Order: sequence, then C-alpha cells, then structure tokens
Amino acid sequence: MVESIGTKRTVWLFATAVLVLVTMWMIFEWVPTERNLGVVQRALYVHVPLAWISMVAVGVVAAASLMYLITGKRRWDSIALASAETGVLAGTLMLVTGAIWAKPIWNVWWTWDAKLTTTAILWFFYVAYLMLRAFAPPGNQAYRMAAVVAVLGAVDVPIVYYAADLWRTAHPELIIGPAADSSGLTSEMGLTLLVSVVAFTSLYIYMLVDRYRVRQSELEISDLKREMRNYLYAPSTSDVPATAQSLRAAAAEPIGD
Amino acid sequence: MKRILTRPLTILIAIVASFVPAGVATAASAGPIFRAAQVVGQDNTNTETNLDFLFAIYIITWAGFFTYIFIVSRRQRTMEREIEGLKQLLSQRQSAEKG
Repeated sequence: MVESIGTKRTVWLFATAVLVLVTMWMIFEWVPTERNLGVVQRALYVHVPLAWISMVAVGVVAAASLMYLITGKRRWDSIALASAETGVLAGTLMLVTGAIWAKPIWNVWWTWDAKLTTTAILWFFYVAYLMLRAFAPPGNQAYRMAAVVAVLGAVDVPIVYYAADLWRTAHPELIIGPAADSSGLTSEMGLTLLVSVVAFTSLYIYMLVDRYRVRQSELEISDLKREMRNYLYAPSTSDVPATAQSLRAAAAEPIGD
Repeated sequence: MKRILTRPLTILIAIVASFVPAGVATAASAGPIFRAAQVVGQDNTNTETNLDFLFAIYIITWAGFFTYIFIVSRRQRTMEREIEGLKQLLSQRQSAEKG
C-alpha cells in the first residue's frame, strides 16, 4: 500500500516535471513578447499561477478547517496544515515576484494599493495560523483556535480577487477566474498562462500530499511515544494503594450538574 | 540505486539540469525573446533592459519550491526512521515483558 502510494507520488512528480518543462519552453521560446511591457511581462506566467495556487490553498485550508471544527477528525486538521504551509509559500513567492515585477513597471517595489494591501493581509492571516500552531501548547484547543483563524482569513479571498474592480488600483485587471477579462492577452499568451496554471496546480497537489504525509508521520510518532510512556511508567494496579485507586475511580466519574 | 533515482530531490535536480541545455540552445538560436527585442526595438523600447528582473523572478520562485520540497522530503525520511525505531523498541519491550 505504502509502496503503491510512493510510486504514484513519483509518477505524479515526473508528470509535473514534464509539464513544468513544457511550460518553461512555452514561456521562453514560444509565446511572443508583449509590446508595451517588454520581456519582463513574462513574469506573468509565474506570478499569476502563484496567485492562483495561493488562493486555492486558502480555500482548501478554510474548507478543511471548517470540517475539522464540525467533525473533530485529525485528518481534516492535517489537510488544513499541509495546505496552509504550501499556501504561505506560494503567497510569499507571489508577493516577492510581484514586487520584483513592480519595480521596472511602476518604479516602486511596493505600493499600498488595494489589491496589494488586501493580499498582504491575507498572507499575514495564514502566517498567524502557522505561528499559532507552532507556538501554542499542542492540543485540540490550539488546533481549534487555528481553524477559526483559517476560516476568518478566507473571508479576505473574494476581497482580494475583486479588489481591482472595487477600487481604483495600479494592479492590472483580472485575467483568471470567474470575473476575468483576458481580452488583453493574445491566444498564445492565454494558452501559455493556462498550461502554467495547470503545471503549478499539479505542483501544489504534490506538495500538499507530501506535507500531509509528514504530518501523519508526526502524529504517528506522538502516538507511539504516548503508548511507550504509558507502557513504561503506568504503575500496575496491584502497586497502587487502595486510597489512590478509589481517588482515580472518583476522578474518572463524570461530574454532575 | 532505484531508491536514489525515485527520490524527489534527484528528480528535481534532473529538472534543473535539463534547463541548462535548453537555456544554451535558446541563447544560441537567438530565440523569441531576442527576436522580439529587435522588433520592439524599432519602437525605441529596449525590452532586454529588464532581463535581470525576469531572471530574479524565476530563480527565486524555483529556488523557493525546490528548497521547500527538499526540506519536506528530508523531514519525511527522518520521521520514517524514527517511527521504525520506536516500533522496534516497543515490540522489544513487549516481548521482554512476556518472556
């Protein structure tokens, strides 16, 4: 079973690698250079897919966190954590690549534009989610608090998406998603962007599964250590004095109203 | 050998390595970036001036992904070893207790 999952992961990674290579060939060899922005416009084929996967990741974190709050199952929490980490990575890269792209085009690295500011807020939300999990005492309470942060953070996603329509911003209009207007792109540009989005989504899925497996292993280790501790240090019933036994029994009883 | 070849890091290194000949071939044949630069150059716009920004964007993106995948796969290997060790220790204790 584990062997089969490992093989599937390798095949998936290989397919992703091929897709990434095709994308890189399209970006640097096939797609025409945009006339006004010049060669740096090719940043679009990385920047937009990064934005796309960070939004997908946020959606997955919110949905999995909601399921965790409803069901209390650890599996959902693991999915949320894996997606949050991958999403923060993609979000960080999106912000960095955006800043580098902004410098030659807007002549500034950063501006407090509505789109950029709401994106930064979203990024801080999920960094806070990861920090809460890392520094709060481990346990269901911390995971539940983090899940609430994740669900609240997702409210910012539509605001980020529609920011360019809602406010006057320096950021270009939407070219991906339900409200997109991709008329500014030629068919080659549109196709390259589509292939790039597929490649990055495939990479996101690979990283999500990889991180999920690590989380499951972490949980397995903590279960094994608990089992070991119980096994090594729990005194046998015969060693415990009668008073202590009765105290334990009393403590085990549910507290009435 | 098979284990090394199927490791994510090996595959990723292979991807990076495969970019090198592609890059050399592109530069040698003066690919569309350079041809387009000539076309746009007629409009008095030098598109090549921002190549360093483009280079930085792609390098940072792929370095970020590769580093993350490397860290996660290394952590997974460490965890697998730890799980194996703990399971062995637990079964040894249990068999010693029974014996």
